[in-house]
Amino acid sequence: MTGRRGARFSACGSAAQDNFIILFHKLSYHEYLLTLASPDPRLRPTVTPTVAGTFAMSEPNDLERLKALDARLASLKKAQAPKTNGVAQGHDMANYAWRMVTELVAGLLIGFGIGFGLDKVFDTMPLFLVLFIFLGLVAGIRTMMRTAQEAQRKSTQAGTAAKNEGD
Amino acid sequence: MEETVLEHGAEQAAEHGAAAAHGAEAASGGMPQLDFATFPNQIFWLVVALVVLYFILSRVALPRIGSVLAERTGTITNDIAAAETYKQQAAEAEAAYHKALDDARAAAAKVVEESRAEIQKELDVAIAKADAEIAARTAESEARIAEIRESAAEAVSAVAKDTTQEILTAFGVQADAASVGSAVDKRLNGGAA
Amino acid sequence: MAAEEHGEGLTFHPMDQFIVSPLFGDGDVGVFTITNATLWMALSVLAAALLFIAGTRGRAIVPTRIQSVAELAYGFIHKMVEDVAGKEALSFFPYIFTVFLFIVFSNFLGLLPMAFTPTSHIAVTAILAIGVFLTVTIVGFVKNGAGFLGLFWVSSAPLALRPVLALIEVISYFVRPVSHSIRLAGNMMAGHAVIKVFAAFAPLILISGIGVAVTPLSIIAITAMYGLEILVAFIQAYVFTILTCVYLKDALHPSH
Repeated sequence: MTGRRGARFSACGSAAQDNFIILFHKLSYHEYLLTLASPDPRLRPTVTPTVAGTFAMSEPNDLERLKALDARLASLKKAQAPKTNGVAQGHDMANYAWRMVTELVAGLLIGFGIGFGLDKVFDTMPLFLVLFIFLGLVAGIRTMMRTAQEAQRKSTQAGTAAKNEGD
Repeated sequence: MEETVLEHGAEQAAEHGAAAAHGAEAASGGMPQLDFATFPNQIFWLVVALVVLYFILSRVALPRIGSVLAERTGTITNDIAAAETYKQQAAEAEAAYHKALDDARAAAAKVVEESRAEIQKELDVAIAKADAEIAARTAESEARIAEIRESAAEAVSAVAKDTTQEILTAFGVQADAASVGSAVDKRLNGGAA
Repeated sequence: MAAEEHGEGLTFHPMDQFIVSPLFGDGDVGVFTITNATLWMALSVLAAALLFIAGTRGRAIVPTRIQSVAELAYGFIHKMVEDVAGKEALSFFPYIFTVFLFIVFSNFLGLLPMAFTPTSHIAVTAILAIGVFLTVTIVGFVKNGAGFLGLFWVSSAPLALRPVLALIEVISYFVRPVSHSIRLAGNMMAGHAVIKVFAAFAPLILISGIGVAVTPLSIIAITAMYGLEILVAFIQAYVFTILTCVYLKDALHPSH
């Protein structure tokens, strides 16, 4: 009996429904208990068919089931709650490195482009080219450092998050 | 390296401008990515593709998925709430059941106690009655025993008097019955002394 | 880079796969010419549309497999936008999602043999990046007015240095879209080119005895590269999208 009900509990998750049956037997319980209280032992019923199935209620098994239901509800609720951490967990260091390289190159390229353009316009060939390649390099390094900071912050964040989860 | 490539591309572009060469031909030596002749085409079609995709997503797909997700979240939340209510009710039912069980046990205990008290009372009465009867019987028996003892004592004293009379007569002593009687009585009641 | 060897009958044309050519006829590539790039962009859009319209047609509470894929993608990007850029950035979610889907589908469809990868072209990624760049810049100015320019004016530096630093900051600001587009196109191009190079070695067994060793190796290498490319195809789309969100956040809340 319990085995079957246990199976139903895990199979389609209708534990609440299952327990709900008890509600409908509440009255018959009372009736049953009233007859139980009868002074003459011969009047007391040994088994009442309608109650027999749910009378297992007081067994420890049912207590466990209620507890399991509780845990399940809690976990479901937690799953429903919005998560806060773990934005870029898959963001690995190689990606950051690649990003930093392209940022450096992009800085140089932009500097080169601006310098080249200005030199063409003002006909001062190497002056602005050199100046802006230098500025572009600095800009590229600045962006790179910012990315590095971000990577570091994220990795420490991930570390603390993992530690917190480990607790 | 990037610079050389860029220069290369620039060269090619210049070539394109001058000779209007085919993209494929020019690209075979360098990067087709830097074949600027194809840029307007790519950009145009990219913009078309993005706009089409944007309208498909923002007009049809995203509102639909959004509503489905919202509905599902609602359903799940409701279901969990309902399950919790049911669990609460089940717990209440169990509590009520246990309370009823305890009440019943108490009632049963009370009934048992009452019947025990009743039986005890009846028993007490019966015992009292029996005691009384026994006392009465005992008294009666004692009375009879006393009577028997009395009569036996009387008989003993009569026999003693007679025997004393006879013994005295046999010894040739004349004694009157009254003095013999008193002497024997004295002896019987006073013991050996 | 595009070495050509005809000595042993091996042909190396790793860059040929990136050539943009008209789909019909043999003319020039004009602005409105339908090219292989057009075809594969259209296929990306079609695939995305199919997934998101046909897949979600049922509007099922308990999703079908294809619907849950669509929902997964939606949830993934939606959460990313919300977490990285904040709730007020959610009005840009359709735009960001469009960019993400286009890149993802282009990348993945580009992995099919004989396919063309639009995202391996700097023209395409540059437009995507410039789109993001313009959006972010306009949002920055609309939200913060001229105060957005304060981003470039480092008030903590000495006054004499500030113009130079401002220039550097402006260049830095432009570095982001440029690196953005180089990164995506470079990744796509490099992977595909490497696969092509390995592929060129594969038929060596038909030509010379050394192929007995080289051919299996190159096939293993192609397989490994394919696995890596599948990963890269997703990661690059992810990185492009998350950086869009980061820039959007910077524009909405400029604070250095």
